[in-house]
Amino acid sequence: MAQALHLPNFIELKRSRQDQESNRRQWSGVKSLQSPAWLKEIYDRISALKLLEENWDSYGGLPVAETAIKAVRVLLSNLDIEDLPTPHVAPLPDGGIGLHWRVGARDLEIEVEPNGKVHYLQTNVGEESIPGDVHSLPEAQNALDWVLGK
Amino acid sequence: MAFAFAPLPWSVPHFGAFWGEIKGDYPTFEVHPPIGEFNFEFNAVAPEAIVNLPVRCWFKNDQSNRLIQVQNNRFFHNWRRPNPAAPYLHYDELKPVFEREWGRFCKFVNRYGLGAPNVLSCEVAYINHLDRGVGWDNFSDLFRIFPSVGSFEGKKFLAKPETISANASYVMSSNEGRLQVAIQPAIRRLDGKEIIQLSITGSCRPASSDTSELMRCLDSCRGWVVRGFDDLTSADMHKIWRKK
Repeated sequence: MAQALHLPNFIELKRSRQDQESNRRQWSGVKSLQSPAWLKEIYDRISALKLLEENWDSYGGLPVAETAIKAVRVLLSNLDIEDLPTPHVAPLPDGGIGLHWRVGARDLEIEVEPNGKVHYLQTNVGEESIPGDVHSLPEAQNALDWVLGK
Repeated sequence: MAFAFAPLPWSVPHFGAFWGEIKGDYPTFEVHPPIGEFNFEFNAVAPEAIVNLPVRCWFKNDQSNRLIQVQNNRFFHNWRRPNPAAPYLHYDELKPVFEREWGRFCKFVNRYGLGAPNVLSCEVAYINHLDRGVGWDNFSDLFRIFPSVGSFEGKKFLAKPETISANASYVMSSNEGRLQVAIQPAIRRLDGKEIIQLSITGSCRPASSDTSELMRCLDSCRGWVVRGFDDLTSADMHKIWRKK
């Protein structure tokens, strides 16, 4: 009886791109600021949040905390965000930062508190929102993957 | 520091056997795709199954500040500063470590009958992080660090660039090798800070695989890296770095 094979009989993979080369051989723990294309723009927007003064929203909004800025930057530099569209970035009245992605019918809101704690809210259009806390980078990655339907 | 050599008949069990010998100094490992062009073969229905899994193994020391990377045609020893307060290890301190580890690798290769590595290239790479806000603020300020680099601002239509990356290659005297310079906008994962990653790599072809010749080549590469760095970067930045 013929055996069902799910693997191709022969696989050959060649890779030689120079930019991949230099990044793979190094050991310095960096992420390119040029990929995804929106990353630098978002970084600049996050930096600009530092300029907000108390009562920036005329409702007593607090200045954005340096800890929140650092937490957002560390998240963005450590997660796989290549396939995500440009997020909406907004200051939060308590001094935190909000990030929002919408992909199709899925919405993901990530809130970073002034002390750096991270929460998320997943919403499928027409369904109840599901909140969650992020305690680790893999948990944050899961939330991002959800919005892409991975 | 690294050597590239003609491919050895190195296979999966050799990684484990080699790790067994260096585990006392390098207790953790990671498996990565290899450097360079490679083929991945898997033939499940051949009379004698063909499996070629090209991988590169990292072997890390306890403090995670030194790393040995091995694949069938490369050997690397890397050092990185674990935190900004940690002392900087200079070439003169690292070169004997590399020489010792290379010797250990060669003995292993010899003992397992894999032949003596025929070294094709020696390499010394320096990777520097230039933090935004320390001597530069925008990518159109790149000339502040590298006086020979232009602003890349358009004549009329284009504004200042959002980011700039650049690669340059220089021929070493007597065509011994190349000095490659890469300027890349990046984010440091540790603290999320914006940086320019400046990589300067000297590589040259040794006349033989004798240890003395290999070490001479490393010295030559290192000399080019140091002089190249000094030549490319501005006096103002040198002042800032000296103060740090």
